[in-house]
Amino acid sequence: MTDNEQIASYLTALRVHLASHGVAEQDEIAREIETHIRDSVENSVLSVGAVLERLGSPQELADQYREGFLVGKASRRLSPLVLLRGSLRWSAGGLFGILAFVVGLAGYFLGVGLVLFGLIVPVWILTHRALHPPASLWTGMASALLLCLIGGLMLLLTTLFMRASLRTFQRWQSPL
Amino acid sequence: MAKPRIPPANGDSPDRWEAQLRKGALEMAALASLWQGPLYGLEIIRFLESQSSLVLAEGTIYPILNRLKAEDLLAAEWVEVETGHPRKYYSLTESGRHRLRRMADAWMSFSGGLSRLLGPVLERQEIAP
Repeated sequence: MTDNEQIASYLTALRVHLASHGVAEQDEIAREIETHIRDSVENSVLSVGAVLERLGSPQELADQYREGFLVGKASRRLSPLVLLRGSLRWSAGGLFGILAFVVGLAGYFLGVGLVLFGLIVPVWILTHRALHPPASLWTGMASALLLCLIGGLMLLLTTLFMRASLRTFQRWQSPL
Repeated sequence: MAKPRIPPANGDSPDRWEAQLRKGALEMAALASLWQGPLYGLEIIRFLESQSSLVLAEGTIYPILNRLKAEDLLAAEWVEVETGHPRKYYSLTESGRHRLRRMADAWMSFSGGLSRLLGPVLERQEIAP
């Protein structure tokens, strides 16, 4: 295998392991690593193979990028999926991560459940209007609205909790 | 004297504690290497090798630089050079400079305290009480 083929093969494998990053981010990382490889070979007596060995395997390198990237990105996002993925990555490192993931999952489930229930109740009341006296109809509607509000509040609080947890995790990763 | 290498994050090392200690200091060291001006990745690695005992696995520095950039502590730009290919130069942002100053203050205070604590340990040659 020629030097160029070795480099291309390494970068291709790196991109595969960086699949969770955007294409632009993958391009940027691959470009920088390629520059590093070529600079290292030009400025030393090392072969391409030796430089690649010093870099670590594509998977090891991608893992290091992914850990910082996923948690950092998640701590600034609102999407429950991204936040849960970030905390899942953190949970691999310890008990607090597992706790954050479980609390987040429970919070989102409960919040979504309450909102859905709050939306279904008025529909049920309206379709079974004959069964209810007018006074209880308004009470039921008000209760449904309250459920929606509590569910929404729970989703908001869970999101804030997850973001704060992930920021804390980032600080723990930093030396000071 | 051969300098110890920092293994990749997932690597097993017989001296894991020392590796973790060095790895923890790496973020601060990367910021400090840029205090006097912009450098590109390989220059940062060489700078750390020459100015400190931080000889690191080369793949370690780039994810750290990437994370510091994402936290707006570093800025980066590709610069065309007359000879060779474009290189990605990193420089400290204003908040990066502030963070580094705080890190340096905390580090000096921390290491000073520990040095006093460890002084007697290093003075005694024998280990048994």
